[in-house]
Amino acid sequence: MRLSLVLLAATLMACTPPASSSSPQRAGGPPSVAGTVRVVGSAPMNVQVIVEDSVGRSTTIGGPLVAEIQRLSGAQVELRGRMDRGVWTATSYEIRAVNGAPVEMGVVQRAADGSLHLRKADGQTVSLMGATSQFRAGQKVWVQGPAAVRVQSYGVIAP
Amino acid sequence: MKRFIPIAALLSIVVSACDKETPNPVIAVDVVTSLSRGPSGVVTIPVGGTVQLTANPRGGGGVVLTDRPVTWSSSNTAVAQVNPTTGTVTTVTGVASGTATITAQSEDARGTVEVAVEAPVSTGCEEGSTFLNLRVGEVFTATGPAASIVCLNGGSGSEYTYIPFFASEAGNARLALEVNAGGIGAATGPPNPSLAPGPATLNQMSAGGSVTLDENFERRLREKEIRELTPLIPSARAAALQRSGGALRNLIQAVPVEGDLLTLNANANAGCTNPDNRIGRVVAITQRAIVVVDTANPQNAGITDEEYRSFGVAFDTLAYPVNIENFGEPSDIDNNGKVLIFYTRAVNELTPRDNPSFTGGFFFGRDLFPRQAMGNLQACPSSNEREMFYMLAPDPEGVVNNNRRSADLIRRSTVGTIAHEFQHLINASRRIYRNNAQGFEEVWLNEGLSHIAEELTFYRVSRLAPRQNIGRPTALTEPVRPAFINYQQSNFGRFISFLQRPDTASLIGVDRLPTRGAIWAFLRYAADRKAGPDQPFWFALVNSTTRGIPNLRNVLATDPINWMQDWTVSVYTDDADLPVEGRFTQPSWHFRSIMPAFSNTNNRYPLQTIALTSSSAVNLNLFGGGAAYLRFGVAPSGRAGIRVTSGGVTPPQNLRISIVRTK
Repeated sequence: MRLSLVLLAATLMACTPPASSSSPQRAGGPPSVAGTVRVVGSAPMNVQVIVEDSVGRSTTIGGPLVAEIQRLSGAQVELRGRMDRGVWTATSYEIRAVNGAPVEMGVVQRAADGSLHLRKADGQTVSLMGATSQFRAGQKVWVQGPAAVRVQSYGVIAP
Repeated sequence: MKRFIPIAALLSIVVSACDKETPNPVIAVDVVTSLSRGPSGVVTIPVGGTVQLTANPRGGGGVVLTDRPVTWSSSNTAVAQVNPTTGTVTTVTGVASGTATITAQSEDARGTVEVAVEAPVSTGCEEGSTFLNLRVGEVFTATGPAASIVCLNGGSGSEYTYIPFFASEAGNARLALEVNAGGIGAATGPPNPSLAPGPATLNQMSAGGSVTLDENFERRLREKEIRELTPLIPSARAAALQRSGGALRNLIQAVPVEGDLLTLNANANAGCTNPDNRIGRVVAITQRAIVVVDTANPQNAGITDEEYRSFGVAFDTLAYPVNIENFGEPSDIDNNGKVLIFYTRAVNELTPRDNPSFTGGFFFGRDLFPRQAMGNLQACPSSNEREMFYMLAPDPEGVVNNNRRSADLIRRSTVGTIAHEFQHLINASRRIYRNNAQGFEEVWLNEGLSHIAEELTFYRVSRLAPRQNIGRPTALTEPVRPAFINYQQSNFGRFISFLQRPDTASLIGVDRLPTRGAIWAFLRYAADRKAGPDQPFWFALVNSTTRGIPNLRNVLATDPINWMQDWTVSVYTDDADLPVEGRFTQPSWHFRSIMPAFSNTNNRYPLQTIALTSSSAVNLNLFGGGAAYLRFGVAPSGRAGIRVTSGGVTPPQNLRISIVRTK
């Protein structure tokens, strides 16, 4: 009986798609997951943040960055971290696209002359133009727009 | 009327010498502006435009000295003038093109702002441009760069509503827009936006319902997210297979009898850990319900066991049939054909002390998962292993956190709440056990479907039906009125909160009350617009292996974003006495008739509209799925132009605009 249970469980596992095509659950796989952020469940007690890949497979997201990732619902992201008991604990992330277009992500800084810049994770800064009244120094945001960078669309990730 | 972005920018500080003889002298004056400044620190306004300035005199240590007089002056009154010239707040008006320095002086300290006044922006409409001629009720739409300039021929007293819409699949994304217009005047004709103002008779807060009306409270609760459930779905399916094969009969819950005491985990903040076990007494067993009351609930709360039984009967005869007919039957993991309804003070305890808002109940997906691990498949040790949900307990004396919950509140809200939570239960359990879905539905669509469950309950009780354009005379008059109050008033209340600021909310955004109101109204619109009966539409949305926008796209067989844009137009044009196409109508409800009856609408249809003028730009920051409503008129035989930019340049492809001629 016990053997049959284990076999059944193994069969079900085999039938269940992996959490992500790049899931680290598979030996040798890269420690990242990629896909679209979605906030699923029912409010207020049953809410989860997942990343859904292009064929609908989902990975549940946890860890200290989940509040930021939750604000990216609908965006395409790549998360790095580790899988722990079925939950992906994200240690860092990148936004691949919002509404199909690339973004710049960073922390808003105000220069001595009062102008706003975006300091990216790699240390580079990008000048922000347009819609700057929507930002304040210290916010983590993403922005989209032509020329470095005329803000057309944007989102606040960490207020 | 000009609409400024309500974000202040702190401008230059000029510090003068301290007057040593004045105690606590002013040493600096901060000047805050109602408009953002450009990269060079200059505030730009058009001729005829205004900007509000606020002076904050500061003393040593940065202390704001509110009692100090302030005088204002302009270095070039031919360009910009200030009015008033004294006081902490003034308004600068652009007179002619040029620049001026505005100075705020308090004692010996000054603060300054550089103001640039620009001639009105050209809308780009010139001889040779294509000018639209719209008939009344006709809607023109354009996308992205093609929407950047719209030129209109005026008819006699013609009026229009300009509706920019952010076609984004990311609800939290925002789109910055600047809308400039030329050759236009005020719109004065109906709808403005009310057609049928009337005395208020409904209080949004009195509706009960399944959710708290306190957004901040909900947000705090959401931050206690439960993340361990989705990985358990394979385990749950394995357990279900074993039960059906008879392998683990001992996991099946015994069917309780009335009077039994059950131990139930009521922890609302943790899924599979830290059980908060409560003892519940089975007070009634009906055909489809097991009604359990927490033995620790406040005593003498005014609801008898027979009333609790009536709640179970209401579930049998109303919520259960309405929900399963439309969404399908739930799972039956405890093999008793019933749903456990637990009235527990644990729900009351979710609301902080002395808080007027409340949570009517909740469903928790953890109870659908097995307690015991199998092989390397995980389990949820604190699961109740039942189809169940949790309900607010009566507490007329405010024993729990000093929040009074009358028996009457419970009576009025319980059936609607049950209908709402039952959809969540059906949705989750069918995704896990019947439909082989990867996980749960997106919150915004899941909540929208639960609010549809409340509306379907209204139709069943009132014996009315969709697409009857139900208005105030029907909805708010006996015998329909009680059903409207019990099952629809909350939906209307949430939709009102969306209409009051449609630019700062989204159908698909984070779970806020305006989003819930909007997605309910959109789902009703979509059900009315598509061909055929409603039931297959609801069933397909619940019984899906996809979620969110892809789910809607599959079921509608079209891009739901297109329908959302049309819906934003219908929000304005429905029941506005305009000869519009059917896709710009909302056939089930006469919102313009009913909404003025709510006390928080000032007896008007509460849609926020903005007056577009030639003298100043309108700055917008639309949320994904959000829209704004800008009204204007064109002089007879005149020509008007509207230019929209984003970040100062041509807008991106996901800006869509609609213009409807209203007069």
